[in-house]
Amino acid sequence: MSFFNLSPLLVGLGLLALAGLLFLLQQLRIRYTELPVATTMFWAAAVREAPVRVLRQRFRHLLAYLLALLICWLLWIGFGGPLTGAQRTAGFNVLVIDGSAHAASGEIFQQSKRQLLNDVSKYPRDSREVFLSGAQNVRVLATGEEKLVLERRLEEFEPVAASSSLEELLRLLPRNNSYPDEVNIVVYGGAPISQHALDRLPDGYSVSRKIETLDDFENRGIVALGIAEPLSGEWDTVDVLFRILATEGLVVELDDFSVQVGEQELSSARLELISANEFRVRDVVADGSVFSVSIEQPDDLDFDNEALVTLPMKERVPIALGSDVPTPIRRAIDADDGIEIVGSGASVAILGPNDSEPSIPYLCSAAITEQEKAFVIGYTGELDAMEALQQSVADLGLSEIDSAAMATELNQEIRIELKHSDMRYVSVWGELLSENFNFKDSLSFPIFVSKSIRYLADQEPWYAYLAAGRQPVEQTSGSSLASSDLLAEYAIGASYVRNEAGTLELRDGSSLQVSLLDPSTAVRASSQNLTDAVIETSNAQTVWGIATWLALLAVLLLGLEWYLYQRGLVP
Amino acid sequence: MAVQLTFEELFDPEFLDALETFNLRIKRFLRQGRLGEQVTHDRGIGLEFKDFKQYVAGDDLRAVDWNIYRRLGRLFVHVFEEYQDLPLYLLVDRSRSMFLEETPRVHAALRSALALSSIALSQHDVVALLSFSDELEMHSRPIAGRRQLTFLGQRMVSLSEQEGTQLSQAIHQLAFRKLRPGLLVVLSDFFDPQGLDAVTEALKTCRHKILLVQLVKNIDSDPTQNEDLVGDIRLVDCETSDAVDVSIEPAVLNRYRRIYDEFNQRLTSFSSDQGIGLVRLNADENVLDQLAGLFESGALMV
Repeated sequence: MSFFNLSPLLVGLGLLALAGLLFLLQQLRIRYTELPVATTMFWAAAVREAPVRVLRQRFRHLLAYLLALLICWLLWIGFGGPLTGAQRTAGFNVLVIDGSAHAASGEIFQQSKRQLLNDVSKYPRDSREVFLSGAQNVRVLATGEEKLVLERRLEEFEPVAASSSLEELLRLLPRNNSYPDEVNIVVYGGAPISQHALDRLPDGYSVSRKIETLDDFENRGIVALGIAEPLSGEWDTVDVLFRILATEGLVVELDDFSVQVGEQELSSARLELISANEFRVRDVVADGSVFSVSIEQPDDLDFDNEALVTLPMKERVPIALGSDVPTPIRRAIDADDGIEIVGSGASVAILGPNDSEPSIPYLCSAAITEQEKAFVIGYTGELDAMEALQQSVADLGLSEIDSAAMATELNQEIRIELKHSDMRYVSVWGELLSENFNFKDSLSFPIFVSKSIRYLADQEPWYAYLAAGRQPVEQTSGSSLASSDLLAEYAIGASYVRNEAGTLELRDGSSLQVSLLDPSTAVRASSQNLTDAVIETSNAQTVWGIATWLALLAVLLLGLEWYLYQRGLVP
Repeated sequence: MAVQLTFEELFDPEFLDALETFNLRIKRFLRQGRLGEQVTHDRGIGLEFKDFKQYVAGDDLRAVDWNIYRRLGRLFVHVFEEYQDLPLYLLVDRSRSMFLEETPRVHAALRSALALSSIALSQHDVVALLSFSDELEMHSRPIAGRRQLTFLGQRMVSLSEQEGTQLSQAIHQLAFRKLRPGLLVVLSDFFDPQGLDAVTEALKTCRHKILLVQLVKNIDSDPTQNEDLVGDIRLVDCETSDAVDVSIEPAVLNRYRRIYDEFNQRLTSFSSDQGIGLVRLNADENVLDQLAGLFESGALMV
């Protein structure tokens, strides 16, 4: 009810100022408005019975003055809500209600909400804030706002399938310059907080918890679901791995869950147990369908009972061969089933020494005398050259090359150069492909050719997994040089991945599945034990009560003044 | 400053047509005038037979009933009901208070005066127009005949705003004029600075039958209808320029209403005691409607 909480000194000064102001107002002389009338004789008689209000002496109408003063003082004290010095230095209170998947089990969220609404009015309004920590951190009650506002705002929220962002909030709170040195953070809910997050808080910050998680929490949850290149080496398949964790006392058996690829259920015979609770499905056709794992058994948390991942779409790379393509390159191409030689419509050209530069990305060899560096890579991305160079070694398989041996054989330093170009290309010293060097016979050579061709083809990247609130991990050659939608959004600071589980729509109209995949949510991973918050009833409650009574008293006095005015006892 | 009535506004044919059915009568009238429509208690020459009486010397021989003489051998004469004309003196207040505000009281006063003139002239009575402010003025000597109504109307619209209200003095001045006894109609707000007592004392000395037409306005009895009358106001008398500082408060308003009611009550009591007719006309409302109410039975008896 108070607009602001002032110190007793300021409230006292306000009382004096009001007394002075009212006194000055009483001192003001009346400025009459002239009005011609015909009935002056009656007015004159009426006024003779009650002379006009004129200050002929100080406090002619003392009763009226005192009444007005009392009403003003009561309102001033009521709305001023004076706080003692002790109350004012009690620090700032940040109340956080957990709205993440942690709060979705049982009645945790409803309990937290009730407890929060009960507690919030116990803090002075000018020293409290309330956040809801779900997929994002949302301020649901700003300083000075009424509890009623909080009730209405919280009605809009339910727990979401997202990891807790509480630690992120703890990281950001100290950056708020408006907070005093002492900040008490009270968490309503069982969202985990790591010791590291607590250690980062400045001195004067304290964190306590009001509502814990369910005591007998029982849950099985899918905590990992990802895609990897197939162990079989098949070019058009992937291996899918997933992990299911269970709380203490529960075991995960094959009957507990089902696996689907697209609309088709996968036989349990294809499931391979890698280690405890970890499973693998080998050679799943990479056709862009959705791979899903569902836990059938009911438990305390639904959000982690299903996980989905969008499989990549692997297609053969059409290439065109030039004349006199070096034999080692040709052999590597022939050995790669993911590449097909076409007469037209090729997306990559493999050039021989005498071929001219084509209009499509190309792989070529150059004489040591014509090319300063052993490998020259032309890229079209917008990355900084140095940044691109660091990534290119791994992306094109160059890290697999025994460069030291090559340098010794050539008596030349093996170096890589990246050039920004209108078109992609990879150029390698022709000498490295000759019979005099064993680079062509090394295990790294076909990898280099294969990855180079896929980089040049600029294939769509795919993602090993997409977990709510976590950065995507891309699985394709030349990722740092590729123009991925997700990474492009990440680069401009957009929400590159959903903070909560669901379907992620991309700009090109395609979609990717995002799952919760959060072990700490599924099995309530160890969280820093916090002391239970002890919330003492602050004088804010008392001040509110007094303010109400003072306002009511002021209204009564106003009624009395009106009565006296009607009776002509006060002007 | 109020807008003065034009002749066309005052001399409204519809207004005058509506007055056709009205009659003005007085309860008792002295025989001094000529034949008119006022019935007197005197018996004499007239149209309506009333009684017989024994012949005495001096009676009109034309009234002797010769049939009775032949049968009884005694002389009896016919007695007829006598009708006499009524001099109507219209005394209009033209002080400033009558001309104040958007719908001034004088408009209603002049319409009422014209209405009474029309009624009186149509029943063969004579009408004289007088006005007063600080002094009494006669604008037309007693005249008769319906044709004179236009003349009276022109005189009425020419009545302009004057200074104060000296009604008691005007009545005294009227007494000095040797006018045939008749009906004196005073059209005024009666806001005489000398007080109502001075007015009533003066009226007591008047030898005419009297009809007081009090012009009132809504804001007289309920000043809160005046939107300007709020807060601290200096009320300036429109006639004397005397100022009264008033803080408009419920208590003051109540006192004003009581004093105004007392004023009206005193005027009513005086009229009742003295057998004087009193009509209150609201200047804010339609005059014809109010007159129709007064002449409800067709005749206003004074």
